[in-house]
Amino acid sequence: MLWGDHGQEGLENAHVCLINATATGTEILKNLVLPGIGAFTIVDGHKVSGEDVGNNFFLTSSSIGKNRAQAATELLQELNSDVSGNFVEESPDKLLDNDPEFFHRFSLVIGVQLPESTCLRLGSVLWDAGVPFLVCRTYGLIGYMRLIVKEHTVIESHPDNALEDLRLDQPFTELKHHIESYDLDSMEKKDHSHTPWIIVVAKYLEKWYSEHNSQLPKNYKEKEAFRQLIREGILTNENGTPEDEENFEEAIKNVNTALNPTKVPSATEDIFNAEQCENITSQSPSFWVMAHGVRDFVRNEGNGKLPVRGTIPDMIADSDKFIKLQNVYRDKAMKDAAVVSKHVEALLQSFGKPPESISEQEIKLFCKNAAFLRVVRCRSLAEEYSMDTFNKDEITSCMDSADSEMVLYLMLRSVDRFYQQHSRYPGVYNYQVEEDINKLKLCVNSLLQEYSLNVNVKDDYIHEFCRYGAAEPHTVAAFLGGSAAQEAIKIITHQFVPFNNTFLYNAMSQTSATFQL
Amino acid sequence: MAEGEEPEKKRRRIEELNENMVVDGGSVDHTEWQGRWDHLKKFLERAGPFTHPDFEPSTEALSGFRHIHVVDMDTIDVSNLNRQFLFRPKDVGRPKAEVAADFVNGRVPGCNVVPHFKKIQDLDETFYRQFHIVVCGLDSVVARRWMNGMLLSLLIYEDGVLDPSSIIPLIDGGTEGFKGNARVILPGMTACIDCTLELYPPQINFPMCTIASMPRLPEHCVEYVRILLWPKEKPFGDGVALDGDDPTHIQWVYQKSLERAAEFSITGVTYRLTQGVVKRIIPAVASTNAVIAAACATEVFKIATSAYVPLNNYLVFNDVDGLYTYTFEAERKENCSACSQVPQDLQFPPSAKLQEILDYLTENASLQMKSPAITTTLDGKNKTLYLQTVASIEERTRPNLNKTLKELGLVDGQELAVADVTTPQTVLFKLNFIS
Repeated sequence: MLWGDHGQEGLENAHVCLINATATGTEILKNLVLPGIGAFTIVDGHKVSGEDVGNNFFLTSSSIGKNRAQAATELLQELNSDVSGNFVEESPDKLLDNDPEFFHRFSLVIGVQLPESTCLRLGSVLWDAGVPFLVCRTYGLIGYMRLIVKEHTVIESHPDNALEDLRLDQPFTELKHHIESYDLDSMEKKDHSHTPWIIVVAKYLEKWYSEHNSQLPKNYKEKEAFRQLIREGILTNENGTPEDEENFEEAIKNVNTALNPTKVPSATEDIFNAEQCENITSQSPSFWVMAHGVRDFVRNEGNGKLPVRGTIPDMIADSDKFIKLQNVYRDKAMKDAAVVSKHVEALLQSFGKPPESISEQEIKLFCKNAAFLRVVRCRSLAEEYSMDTFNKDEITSCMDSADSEMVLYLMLRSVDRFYQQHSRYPGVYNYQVEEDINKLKLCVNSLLQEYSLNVNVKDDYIHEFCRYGAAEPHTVAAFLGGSAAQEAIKIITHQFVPFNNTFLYNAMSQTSATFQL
Repeated sequence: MAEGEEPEKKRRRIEELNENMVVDGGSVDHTEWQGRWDHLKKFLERAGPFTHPDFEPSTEALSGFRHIHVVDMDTIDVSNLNRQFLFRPKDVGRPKAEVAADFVNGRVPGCNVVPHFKKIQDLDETFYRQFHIVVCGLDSVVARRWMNGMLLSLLIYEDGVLDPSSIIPLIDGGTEGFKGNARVILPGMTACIDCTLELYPPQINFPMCTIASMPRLPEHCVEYVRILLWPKEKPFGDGVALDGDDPTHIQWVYQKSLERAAEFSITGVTYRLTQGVVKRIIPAVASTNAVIAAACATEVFKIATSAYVPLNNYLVFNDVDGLYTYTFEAERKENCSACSQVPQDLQFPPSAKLQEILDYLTENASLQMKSPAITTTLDGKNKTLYLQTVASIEERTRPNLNKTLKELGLVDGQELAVADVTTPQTVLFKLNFIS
């Protein structure tokens, strides 16, 4: 599977809490139960209604009137017998009143179709307890997700288009020696055509340096000239026509990226400069201890560079040449990781922790991913809502375009306001729709006024949100089900990068947007 | 009772039943219950500022999707169970279409899913013509092109004008790991699968020389065993093909791959990698499939109810880093070989060999045919120039590949009919001689 055995282990040790087994809730859980989450607990004080059965694949008409948490647990449980399914027939508000620490045991809490007040209360408890909180909502044809987690570190972000770590601009000693062992000019055709392109580029770079004052080709013109230099190195036959040397073609193609200067990516720099990296204590998570170790390496043995990653892409070459070259990089990566280990050990010892508390394997993985480390910090709901800290700039600038998905966020905040005032959502019954449009508009205006938001919310959206009548159509719930489940898996496995922090999906236009609120 | 009264009574009863089916059907009928359609009816009873301009709210449409046919040639494998939620361990080995139908029919009262344990190509126009909408979750571009071609073949043109009632919308979804896409195709009107063929880059297989003599990666070692060693050593008997689902076969391949790898000092061959290469496994997760399936289902809903303007017409999804979607209108290709009805142009000198035309048909990015069969009319008679899918005909027509177009008797403007697995209909090409 895509998150490896160690990721799967993390998943199987996790315990997720779902609040409210509505269609959105059960669709999310389905996508966690199937890949084998360790355990789930559904918290839901509702009884199954006819309406619930109409849009929820994990409820049947025979469960109408019964405990919704239990009914859903049964049908979700049977998706995977390795998963432990549990339920608590209680409203989250009651639990917050009587036993807020109930929520401390979970790896992640997913709150679905929650009223604003419950959301904020729960958000505060989970923030203080350091438990990640994922809020999900299907409202008519709109999907909404909000992730709240103080600090989420990612070692394995698995970026889609990562640049290789070849060090051609500053070859380390062992690589230099290996390159020196080649003499392209004296090679027979077979060897010449099966020399790895990395060696070809390195050799021609030496030629270039001798003619260009040891400067790397910098702009397009110079890179073109460099490519031409390589092309001229292609062997020709007796008639002078160039031979078919695919390795040289690969070299030419890769000139663009192979000569990028080796440097520490800004995201990794930010991690090195973070307060958590600077001030390591016995409480520091291993991520920060290792970051500090790598930082020490970069500032000393690494000469400003990260530990060598150790992998090279496949390329046209004979097996022997390729494996030998691959081993040069692999061995250097191992050496660098060992040095980082020493730094980490010293750190651990400095506050009385045994060196085994962070394994060799972990350190190797960290070094291999040093260029891809990420830290995601999602603000609390309190910060999002507070008059002093709400993200006015983001909201106003997005609303320059009246149909930006930001308007959907403002509408959701407005229907929450409506609910607060009228103890119901707008337009649930046909006879309410017309009157509610005006009432909802008042809510929109009061929201904008309270936050001094000088933006225009088109009447069309107010009308549409009344029209929805707080319905939860199954296809929209299912879209969120897939989206939210994968974000949950990211949080649990610490692999791939979660969104930060508000996601909106519009099923009418099939568009989406992410905002940091 | 007089005979005349009976029909009256019958008619009344049917009307009563229908009334109870709609909206808050509070009848004794156990396939309906109070509130069943509450989450949906608001979208059908109420017009709104974003609904389709032609949309007319009504309460009569409310019965959900009841008549669904499912076509699938596969049986259930244990590896499917981590994401295919309609199947359980006890179902392994059974046809997917049948198990899915049983499950849904049992879970959703009033729903009637009809399974077809068949290849899509085993069914013909009379089958596909009956549907209002076709939804695909296929696992190959070839199959998609075939389905695309089938729906195009059902289009009716009167005096060059497309009859809209002959259009069957095609909603197509696909996923690979954390990436996915969903698209809406209105055959004859919007971009079809072949219009955007370049969006699907051709599958790159490892070069033969790498596999045969210069392996570098563990995958090369496995391919060596699969492609070269297995046919040579026939470990399970003559004519026994490598079966990726047979653990004894995989075990044999795995051992031999390890030996191969050791010869070249290559590390990394594992049982799982071996199986992945042999079965061409593309990693899949429940979540991406759920997202794309939901997007497709939303489009089916929009089209069936005419409540909203459908996606126009291509959605891309990727949740590797946060969640990313991109929606755009894929454009029709003016000379699309599938949907443009424009005879395709083939420009070759009369001295070109037939092999060159064959290569063009397979290698051209917009055509990407697999094993085209070329026929034409010469001296009033139908003549097969080359066909590979039947061994005897392949042998007989093979010499033609080396003959020039002139030698074969072809003239400027000659029409060539090409058949291929990528389309249910033959594609017409016009030969244009160039100097």
